[in-house]
Formats: sequence, C-alpha cells, structure tokens
Amino acid sequence: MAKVAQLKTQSVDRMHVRLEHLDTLLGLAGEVIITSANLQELERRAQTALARHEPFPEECLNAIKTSNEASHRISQDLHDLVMAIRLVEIGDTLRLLRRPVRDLSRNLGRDVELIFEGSDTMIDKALAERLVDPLLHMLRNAVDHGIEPPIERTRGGKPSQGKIIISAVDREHATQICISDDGRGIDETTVLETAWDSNHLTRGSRAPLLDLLCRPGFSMATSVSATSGRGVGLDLVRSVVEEFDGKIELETEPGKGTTFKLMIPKLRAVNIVDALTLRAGNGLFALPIEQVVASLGIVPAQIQTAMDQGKYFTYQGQVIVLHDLRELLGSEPLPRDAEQLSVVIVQSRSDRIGLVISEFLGPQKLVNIPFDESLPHDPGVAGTSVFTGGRLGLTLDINELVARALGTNRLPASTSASDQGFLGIGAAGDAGTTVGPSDALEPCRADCPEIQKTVRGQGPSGLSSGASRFDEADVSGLIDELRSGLQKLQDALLSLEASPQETDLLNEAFRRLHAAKGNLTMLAAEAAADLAHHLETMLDFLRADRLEVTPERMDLMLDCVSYLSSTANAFPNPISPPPPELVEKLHSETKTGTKSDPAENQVELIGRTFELSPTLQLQVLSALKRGEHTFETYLTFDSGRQAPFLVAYLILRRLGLYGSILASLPSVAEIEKGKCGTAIKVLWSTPLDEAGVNETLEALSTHHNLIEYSSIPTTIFRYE
Amino acid sequence: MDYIARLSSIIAPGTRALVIDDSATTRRIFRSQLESLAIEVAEASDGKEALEYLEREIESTQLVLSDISMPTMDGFEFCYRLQQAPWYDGTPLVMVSTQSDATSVIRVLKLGADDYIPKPFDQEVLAQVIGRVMTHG
Repeated sequence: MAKVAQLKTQSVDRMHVRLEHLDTLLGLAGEVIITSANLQELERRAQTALARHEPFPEECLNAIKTSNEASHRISQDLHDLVMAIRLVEIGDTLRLLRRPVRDLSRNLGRDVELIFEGSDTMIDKALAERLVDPLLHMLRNAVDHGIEPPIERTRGGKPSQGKIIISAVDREHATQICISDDGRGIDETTVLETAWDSNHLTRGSRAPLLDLLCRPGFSMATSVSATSGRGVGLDLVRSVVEEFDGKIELETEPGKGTTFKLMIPKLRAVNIVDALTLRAGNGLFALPIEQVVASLGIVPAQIQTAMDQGKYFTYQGQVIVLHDLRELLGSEPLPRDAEQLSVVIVQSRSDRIGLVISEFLGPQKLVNIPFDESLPHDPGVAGTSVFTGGRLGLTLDINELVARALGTNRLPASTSASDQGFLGIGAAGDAGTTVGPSDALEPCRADCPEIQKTVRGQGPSGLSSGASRFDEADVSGLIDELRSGLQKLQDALLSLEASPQETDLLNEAFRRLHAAKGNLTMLAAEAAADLAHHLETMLDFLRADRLEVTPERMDLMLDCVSYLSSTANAFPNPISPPPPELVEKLHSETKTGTKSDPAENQVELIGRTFELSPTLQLQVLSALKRGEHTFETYLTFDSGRQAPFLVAYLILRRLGLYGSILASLPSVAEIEKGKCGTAIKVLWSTPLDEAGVNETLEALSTHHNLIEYSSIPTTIFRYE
Repeated sequence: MDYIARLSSIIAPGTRALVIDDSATTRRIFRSQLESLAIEVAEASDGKEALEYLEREIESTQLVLSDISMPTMDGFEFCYRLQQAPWYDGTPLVMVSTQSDATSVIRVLKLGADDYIPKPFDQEVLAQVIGRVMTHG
C-alpha cells in the first residue's frame, strides 16, 4: 500500500498542451470576438429601428439567427477542444506500473513480461490519475495469483515466462482497458468455497464470480502478504470504475488465464452540472440535480416539532428534518410568514434533509466555476455559476451541507458583519437590490483553521537559495522536466534489465540521468544531485563494461531513481537525505569514481620549487638571448562559483598570450587533475618589463578576480 | 565586484549569443538572464543544430554558450568541430555544464572552449565570464 500512496503523489495539477490546440483555441477566441461584435452591431440597429418606431428589420432577425448558430457552434467547438486538451496518452499512466510489477515478480520469484498495447490511446487526465491504483491492484493479483512460478509453468507445458498484457482501445463512446494474464485462471469452485467459508455467501448459494471477488473484504489469499490478502482490491477497482460510470467484466479459464475488461465511458462534459436552481432570500443557488430527491411545497400544518431534532415533516413515510438553507450557510434564517414553505429534499449517501428556500427557479445546465482553493471560502459552497440572465449564483456542496445539518460538520464560527465576502455578489445581482451587511451570507472565514490549511505556503520564498535565482515558472518548468526525465530514466533502466546488451538504452539512461542531475543542481537539491552524480558514475562504469547489469545492481539503481523522484515530487519541501545504505552501496560500486575531497585539492606551494626540464631550460636561455625577462609571479584569486583549477588554468592560458609559461606551482599536470587551490605561482618569460607585467596583471585582475599579485624578476640559473 | 554593471559598458547594442542546450527550460533561463544583460539570444538544442546555425550566422553571433551533455552531437564534439570549421572566426565559446570534474572541464578547454561555467549558474558568474571572454581578444 505504501507504494500506492507513493504513486498517487506523482500526479500533478499541470499538463502539457499541444501547440495546435492552443492555435485552435486562439482561432475560436477570435470567432467569439467577431460574433460578439456582430451582436453589438445588431443591437445598435435594433435600437435605431425602435427609436424611429420602425418595424424590427427582417435582415436583423436573420443576422441574429446566424450569430446564434455561430455561437452555438463555437461553444460546441470550445467544449470539444477543452475535452481534447484534457486528454493524455494512457501510456504515461501505464509506465508507472512497470516498476511495481518488476519488483513484485522479483520478490515472488515469477518471470513476467509486461506488455502494453494501445499506449497511445487518449484518456481524460482525471481518469488517468485515478486509474493507477486499480490497475496496480489488478496487476498485483495477476502476478501473485495468476502467473505461476516458472517451474509450475514449464510442467504445465507453458513458456516459463508469464505474460501480462494491458491493452487500451478507443471505442466510440468508451475506452476499453483489458488486463489479461496467461496464468492459472480463477477456479469458480474454489472461490465459492472460500466465500462460503468466510461467510461472504450463505453456504450452498451461488453468486456471479465477479460480484464475489468484488465484495469488500473478500480475499482469495490464504495468508496476508505484502502484496495481497488484505481483502482490498477488486472492490476498490470496481468503485473507481463506477465512479466514472464504467463497467467491469471478467473472463477466466482455469489453466489458461484471466482477463479483466474495464469499459469506461468517455467524459462528455467538463464541470457542466445538471442543476436545480433556486432562490433563498436574495441569493441564487444551484444544487446538483442527482442529489435532489424532491422539491415540494408544504403547509405549516404538516410540520411537526421534536425536542431534539427541531422541525420535521414526513415524506413517503420517512422523517425529513427541515433546515433553513440560509441558516446552514451561516446567515439570517428566512422570514417564516409564508403560508406555504418551499422545501427541497436533498440526499447525501443515505442521509436526507429538507432545505427550506424561498422559491424554485427550475432546472438548468450550469458550468460550475470552482473557487480558488487558496482563498478562504465556505466548504458548503462548491463554486459559482452564471445563471440564466447573466446573474451570478452559488453552487452548493450538498454532502457538506447535509453533514453540517446532521451535526457532523460545524459551520465555521460567525464573523463580523462588515466582512461581507463574495456571497454578496449573488444577492446583489438579484433584481438589482443592494444587500446590506446584515443580510449577507457570510461563510468566508479567514481565521477558520480548515480554511487556513488550504492556503498553501509555497512560493519562491519557500525555495532554497539556489532555486530562488529563478522565477516560479522556471522552477516549475525544471520540476516538470525533472519528473518526466526521471520517469524516462526508470523506463530506460527497466528496459535495460530485459536487454542488457542494448548500449542505446544505457546511453539513453545516462543522458536522462545527467539531465536530471542538472535540474537537481539548478534546484539546489544538493543531496539528490550528489546521489545522481554517483549514480551517473555507476552508469558510466556499466557503459565502460567495468560493471555488469545484475538484478541487485538494477535494484540499487531503481531505488536511487525512486529517491530522486520523491525529491522531485516533494519539491520545494525538503526531503530527508538518501538512506545511508543506498549511498554506501553506490559508493562501493563506484569506489574509484568518487569525487576527491576538495580539501585534498589544496596544494601546498610553500617549500616547493619549480622543476625545469632540459627542454624548458633551453627555452629560457633562448628567451634571455632574445632580450626577454623571466618573472616569478605569485597570484591569489577568488574563483567565485567556478572551480579554482579552472580559473588557474585560464589565468595560465591568458598569461601565455604575453609570454611563455615555463612552469607553475601547482604544476599544469596537477591543475589539469583538479589539484589546485586559489593561489598559484608561475615562472614565465616575457618581452614585457616589470611595469608592463604589472599592467598586464592589473588588466587580468578585473576579469579573473585576482586578490593579490606580485612579480619578481628572477634568474633561474644560479652559480653553484 | 559588480560584474553585471561593468558588463553593460562592454556589451555593444545588438550583441547576440547562441545558447545550445537540449533542455528547453535551461534555454529559457539563459534567455531571461542574457536578455536582462542586454544580450540577444538565439537557441539551438544540440551541437549539430548549432553548427548549422553558426555556419550561416557566425557574423552576427558574438558569443556561444553550450551545454556539454546533449543528444545527437554533444558539447565535446561541438567544440572540436567548431574549431575545425573553416568559417569559425574565434567567437568566444563558453561551456555551461554540470559536468564539473576536472577531466571534462580541461577536456573542453583543450578542445578550444574559452571558459567554463558550472551549472547551476547565476547572473553574476554569467556576467563575469561573458565580460572575461568578450574583452580578451
């Protein structure tokens, strides 16, 4: 289960949008502008006709018809486009399953090939995210209960490697996803016996196989293991599938295998709710129609009062407790002077309550605009909607209101009357009346703890110093890139395990890892970047055939990738450093490849003398004959964010433009190995005199950040 | 030392840099940082694309910033091929990479790169290095 939770966090509220879709959107936006301009023109003409008492021009009517048709088509196109934008390839979801299946098969000693078919099938993003858990459950079942151990398979005349195929097919109104294994199948008799033994079914009676398997708590495992046997699984699968109005089917043949078929209808609308609209006081409200049981008018005589429950009435033999809608939302109750009370009975799961309102307005299709979660709002209100006539109303969250009415959820404590909040909008829009603070509904609470929780304290300030150099868009871009890069790295590694000879895969993994390391470094996630660096060394060893791909090494590498992914997913929150045993294992694999300690790079200059080869000595003699001077120059510098050896190397190269470098301390060979601190001594010959050398060094100092420099003319040949 | 302020006196109007990196995000970061230093930016996503661009545009390019690890043609090969190119006029070439081990860094320098910036970089080091490579001939 821990893995399931881990996978869940990988879903992000962002998605990539294809450029062509944006172009289409731009085109449609243009059409909207044109249509609206046309309507403006029509209004002007109609007004002119009206002012002149002329009959309404017929061509105007035709034009209105055309505009109407156009706007209908544009809305349809817009809707289709948004639906298309929401689609993602199912393959991105399926990829998440490779690692768990691989680990599970390895733990259980199964040899399983996981095959994806139709990975390019497009499904809605929300479905893609919700599908991970159910698919994982079915795959676990397939590996654990379906696929037999290799020996058993060979004995039964099957290839020792089992096959699990996940296929996705796009049908006209639904997406069909099949999970098939060629394992032992499900034996109906055994299932029945288990159901009888565990009291899930009266002994002797029968039920469809799938229904039995989907019963909450029903398990075929004889013992609880890490992978299955907890009795959760297929019931979860079914509930997710039903959440999307889908169906699940089962085909199984003992000895041959099992196929689960999920049929999930395509989403037809985004956020469009069939709603019942109503008025309560000055406010307009909408309720999702599927939660409305009935709307009716009742007379005071029907209302009874109970001590503990307040007012109630009986509807179809059931006691319905009445609650004033405005009161539930924390405002003044409606005046009770009417002869007849308008009541809407709403249902949340098995609980029903009656909401007292002022007036029904009728059913309507509405687009719910959810509130920004980071802004304080009453959880009883799901969002806003534009009602017929352009007025603004609130969409209610019935589950929350029913829970509140039943006393399980408390309304946030009342706030000061001046803090009117946006609920006033809905009321004010009604018939143009201005609503005074005392009349306003006030669910907005800044000091409510539940609300404060939803205000996310994320932002550039939460990032560590390294990442704060970039703006938020850059950071989220980096994180996105990092996440998808790590996923592809994992893919490459998993494929590599199956075919270790593919150097292309190894190179691909290396490149992905390298890019991820870059992103981690940019995000100042040092511990993770360091781990990535060592992992890179390990891959380099594999690439150079200094190491071989073994399942244990693959475990190690995949665990490293998991750690890196968790860092990426937790960002900008800090994450605990990588587990020491992981780092230790990695180090032992790459003993010779680890970075040297920076302290070792400091090379003591004091007491060291230049070593001149005979060739160099000859060079010095020639230089002296040319009338040049030899200097011993001592330099210290601040290398800033660059490595000292690099700056030292660049300084030497620069000095070389003005003369010949004869020797240096540390030696050039040492500098090339990175062994260099922020001080160097150079022996060089140059046509410049002492003043010229100082000038040169001064010019150099600005660009190389020299802290101090001194040059002394020197004769390298001593009389001994 | 205020490298950023000093760089503004060095950069002539219309100075253009070619940024070579396979990561679109890194290129975007480069672009925003370079543009705020008044340097125009052209982009390439690997060495091959960069060579094709430079062969046409070497005259109008005053600075080349390149990643090392890239698909198709990496930074090492790019350095080498650029130095070999008959049209290459010595436009300063700075490598920017996370590959900060001495072997790689010295290797690119020996292949003809003028300087090296470790990733992650900030505007200051960018300004310092650009100032350095663009003032020395």
